[in-house]
Amino acid sequence: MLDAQMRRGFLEICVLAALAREDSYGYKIVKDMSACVSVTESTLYPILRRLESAGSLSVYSVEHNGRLRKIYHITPKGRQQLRDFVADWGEIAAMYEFIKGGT
Amino acid sequence: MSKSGFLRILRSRLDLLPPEERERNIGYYEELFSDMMEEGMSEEEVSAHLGDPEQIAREILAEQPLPKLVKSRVRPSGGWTALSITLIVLGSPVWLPLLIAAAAVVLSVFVVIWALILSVLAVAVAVGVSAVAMVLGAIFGYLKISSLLMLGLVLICIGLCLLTGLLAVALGRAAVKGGKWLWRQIKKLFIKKEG
Repeated sequence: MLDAQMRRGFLEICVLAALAREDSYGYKIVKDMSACVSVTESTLYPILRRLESAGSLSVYSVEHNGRLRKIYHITPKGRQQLRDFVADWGEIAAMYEFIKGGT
Repeated sequence: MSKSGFLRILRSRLDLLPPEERERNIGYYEELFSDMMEEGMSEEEVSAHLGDPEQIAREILAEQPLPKLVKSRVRPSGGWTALSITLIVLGSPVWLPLLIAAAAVVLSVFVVIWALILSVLAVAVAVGVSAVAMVLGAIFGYLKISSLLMLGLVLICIGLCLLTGLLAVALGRAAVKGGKWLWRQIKKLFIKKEG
């Protein structure tokens, strides 16, 4: 089990990655992410809120079956975060190798 | 549990949140019900899948920063009326000294605890310094005692120094832990609401 703090950071990036493919809504994000990580609906929402207040994603509503559905959209800032994470991967992988060497 | 039952529990447990924040959270769960029911799940299946609304509410509240909870906790449900403001202002000679006294008591307890830790640390340093002084005294010939006795004394000093040093560190850790625990309790005071 990943450390809670670390897991949270990774989940944020996974949510951004899901939204980079297409705008999406709560339930669909959970379903799409379940391919790589199991996240519950109740853990997703605080992540979405945090990303929204950080300006990494924006929210708009569309009508669907006579009700309003909240759609989450990744902002340029969110895309930059995603690119930074991927660019930093070399550093993370080096840390991982170092940690593995110590076990 | 039915959809309305689930949302009712969630709403009542979240009444500490600012109304806007509370409705956002409820809207999210409402939407999940609609989305999952469109896929053919029943209300009971959806609420079973989502989990215990009490637990969900606790997690949401635990995520909120303390000032936000305090603000909504302290604010009367009908907003600040002229009457409640007047009462608070008129009552200030009573509650202000009490509040200050309570804060002073907590502060003094903290000061005492840290003073104790500091004094243990001072003992450790003093014993350590005397060990060094003894060695120097022996080298420069100020100390006229047998070398065996001196060796024993130096070893005793070093041992005492290490023991008290470790004690000080352990006490310091315990104090930090206790402080964190106290902070969590204070935070819980505002989260917990029964009835």
